[in-house]
Amino acid sequence: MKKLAVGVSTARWIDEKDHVASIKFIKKCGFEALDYQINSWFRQTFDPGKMTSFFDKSVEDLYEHYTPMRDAAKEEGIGFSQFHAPFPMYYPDDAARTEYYLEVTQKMMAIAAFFNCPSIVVHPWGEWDGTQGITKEEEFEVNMRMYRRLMPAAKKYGVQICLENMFGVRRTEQGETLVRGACSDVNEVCKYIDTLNAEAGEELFGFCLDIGHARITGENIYEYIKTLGNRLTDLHIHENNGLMDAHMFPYSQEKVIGGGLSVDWEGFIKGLKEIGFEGALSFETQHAIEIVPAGLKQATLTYIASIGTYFRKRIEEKE
Amino acid sequence: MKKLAIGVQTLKWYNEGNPEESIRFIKNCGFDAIDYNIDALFKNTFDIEKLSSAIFDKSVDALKEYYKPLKKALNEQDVFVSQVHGIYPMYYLGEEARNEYIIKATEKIFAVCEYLGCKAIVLHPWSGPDLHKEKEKEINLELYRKLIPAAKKYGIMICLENLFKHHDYDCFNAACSNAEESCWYVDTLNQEAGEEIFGFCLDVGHICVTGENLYQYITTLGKRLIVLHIHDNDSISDSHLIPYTQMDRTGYRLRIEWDWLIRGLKEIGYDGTLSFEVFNGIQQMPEEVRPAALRLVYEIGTYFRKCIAEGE
Repeated sequence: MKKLAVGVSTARWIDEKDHVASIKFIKKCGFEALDYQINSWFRQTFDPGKMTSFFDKSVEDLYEHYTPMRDAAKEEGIGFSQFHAPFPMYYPDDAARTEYYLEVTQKMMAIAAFFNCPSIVVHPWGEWDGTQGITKEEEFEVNMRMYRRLMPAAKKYGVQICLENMFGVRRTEQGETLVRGACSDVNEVCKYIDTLNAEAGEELFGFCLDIGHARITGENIYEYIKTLGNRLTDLHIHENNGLMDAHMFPYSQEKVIGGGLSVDWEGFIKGLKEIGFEGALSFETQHAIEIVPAGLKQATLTYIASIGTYFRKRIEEKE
Repeated sequence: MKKLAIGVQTLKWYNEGNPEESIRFIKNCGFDAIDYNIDALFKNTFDIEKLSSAIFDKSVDALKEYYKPLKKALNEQDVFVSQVHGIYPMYYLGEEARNEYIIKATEKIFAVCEYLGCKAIVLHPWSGPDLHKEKEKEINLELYRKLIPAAKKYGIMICLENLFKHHDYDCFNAACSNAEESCWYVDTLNQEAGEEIFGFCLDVGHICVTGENLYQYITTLGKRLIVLHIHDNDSISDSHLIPYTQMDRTGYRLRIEWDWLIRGLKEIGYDGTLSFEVFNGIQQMPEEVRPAALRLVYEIGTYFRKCIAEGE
């Protein structure tokens, strides 16, 4: 795959019944890479009562299902930069469901390898609503156990597992508040990745920086990227106004108070340039696609691709 | 003039010193029409102390000479001026000399409109602080009355616009926020003029910050609606952003019901220009991305046109 390929999440535009047409469509919009939201298809087919889904098929049957998509992508020159695993991956009160998700994710790794996709984003679990009294140390241990479970499959299929910075929603009698979640803190991220890679004995774990989540939790994007360094392997590029995880395209949202651009895109570009990032510039702007009428989806995606091209140019250009 | 042409304001992309390049640029982005922000040129050249402007002190003939390159560029690129944005504010309480200068400059702008083939100018009504509505109406009627002879002479339609007032971070109703009030202004002035020389410019973003019902506003205006200012905001600030980008407080639903705009325009048989006023949406992005953003705006316009014309 091309360095700094311009990519996009498949959410809200892919037709799971016609992968070939979908690949041709996204190529026409100007994209070079895909973040395959395989979790969306999983969710559409998952029956929590019976604990079954489309992914009950054998790996061989899944390969067969995905062959037309893989071939179309190859023909159109579209790469797969990352997959998005089901989330949440861990259900504290439902061991059977957690186990099923882990099994499915391992099959997804096999599919990722089939697509020559180098990574899969697996969200860390967090104390989502603040009602469970879980400590940061306990959260770390739960996540370590979860990621350890996925190590053998990751090694087998040669697919890197990427953690992601999350935010939480704390619900109290006073109402809901967005708070920092698992991996909001970049030093915590580095601890996860370095510990897991040391255990794995190879660089099996990397990081997906979600710019929208970083905006919500108030991180300094430039510093975050610089601290991550080469641990940063994937991106979820999107924008919000700091209050809701709106998944809109860059340069569209303003700060609620005082106006002005909501996200420090210059810090983003500078950070990626300084760490020598070469991965895909992947947009996770599904809400921008979802809220426009069908007649404007292509124009909106084309515009998003042009922002990606601009980012690449800025990252590549010499000082 | 093309029906349901797609237009855009000139603010933040137009180079006053190079009309040829500017018009070629906007044509390449797809647009058929421009809303010429002559107000920006006025602001940049007006000296409040001396009550003079390097541009608007010129004679009408000299102004026509000044606008020759723009007219040539428009003809060459097959782009037209759907509307001109007049000076604003048009009125300063207690500053009669300034007001007189603005009226004279506006009359010259009418002549420029005629020269450029533009049929409509948007002139904001005045919204007075802490004054009763009746006093505000009196001042506005007097203001617009003064311009009737020049509007007749140059064949220009004067369009009032729905406004808002803001205090800190909140927006409040102002002149013409209410559709019935707007109709009253337009009908009263046209009756006085003895012909239809007054119309209305509906500002969709202002509707959003003042909380009016977009569909009802349009259908109440009916044929009085002549031109548009189409843009988006979060209902808190008059941000002038690209449509389909701003959410309500849930963060997931569109703040403006764009379907209502389409439905309203369709029902009243609107066939004027679909003109966007998205200057902040353009300004806040890097210069290199602006052409792509303007192309997206144009695509949104063609979508609106298709829906209005074909009933999609």
